[in-house]
Amino acid sequence: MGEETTLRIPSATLKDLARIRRFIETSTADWPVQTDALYDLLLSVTELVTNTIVHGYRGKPGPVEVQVGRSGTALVVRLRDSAPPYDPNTAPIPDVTLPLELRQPGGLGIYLCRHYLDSMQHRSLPGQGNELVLRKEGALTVEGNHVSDS
Amino acid sequence: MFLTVEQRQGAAPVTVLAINGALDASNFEEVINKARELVQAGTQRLLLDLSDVSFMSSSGIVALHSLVLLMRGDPPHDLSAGWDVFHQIGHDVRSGRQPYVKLLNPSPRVFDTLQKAGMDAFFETFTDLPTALASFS
Repeated sequence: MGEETTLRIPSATLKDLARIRRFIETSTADWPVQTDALYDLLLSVTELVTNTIVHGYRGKPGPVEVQVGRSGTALVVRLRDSAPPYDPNTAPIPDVTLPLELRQPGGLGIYLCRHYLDSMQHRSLPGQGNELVLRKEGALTVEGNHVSDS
Repeated sequence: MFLTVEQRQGAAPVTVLAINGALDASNFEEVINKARELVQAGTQRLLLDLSDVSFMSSSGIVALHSLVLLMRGDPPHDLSAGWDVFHQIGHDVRSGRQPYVKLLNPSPRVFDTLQKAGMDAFFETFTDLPTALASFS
């Protein structure tokens, strides 16, 4: 497992967003993490878990798993849920240069994730569910252990 | 997160609504509900003090824009419609900032989120209270 830590919430709601952020902050507290990079990751995780609960679970409680690790100088967060398959990389990119009333609806949270993360890999889990692997490169000032591939 | 309200007198009466803590999907409706109360009580000018907002997700953007809608007498976003609200955000944006809601002291990270969302031009932003109060007419 190396330096990975995992939080499993069987019935996550939006009220757990702060708990998830605290978990990530605690898990990385002893690592040489750059503050801005950590904020980028916290914001992205917040947006993605919000999407899972609001859209994937349609506002009802559902399982969410958050795993924090590091790979070289990258911070890596693995999110798992049991929601219907959805790859946020397929979401249309909102054009934030357009007048607001002309913009396509939705997608701002995912847009922010794309901006703040270096990569966001999706795979559908067997049965039902999603796994997202979020990477923030250069977040650590010293190289650390690799995350497992399991 | 908790909210505090203070009435101040600049060039005109201004309600200062201070948000303390993290603003995300779990609590952004509290901000909208508080603004609804303030409007019903007669607030016409709102200064949103973001000095102690440690974190703001895209839900905070929805909340901030809903405050503008409420202040100008429009219904706030229909939250049951989900997150498809950003295309509704107001016809006066093209002509620049709106006069109803202004921001005080957003952190660099909160302001960065506003910028990424293209919302920074929508809100006049200040770093000190007297100047912010004096800007309302």
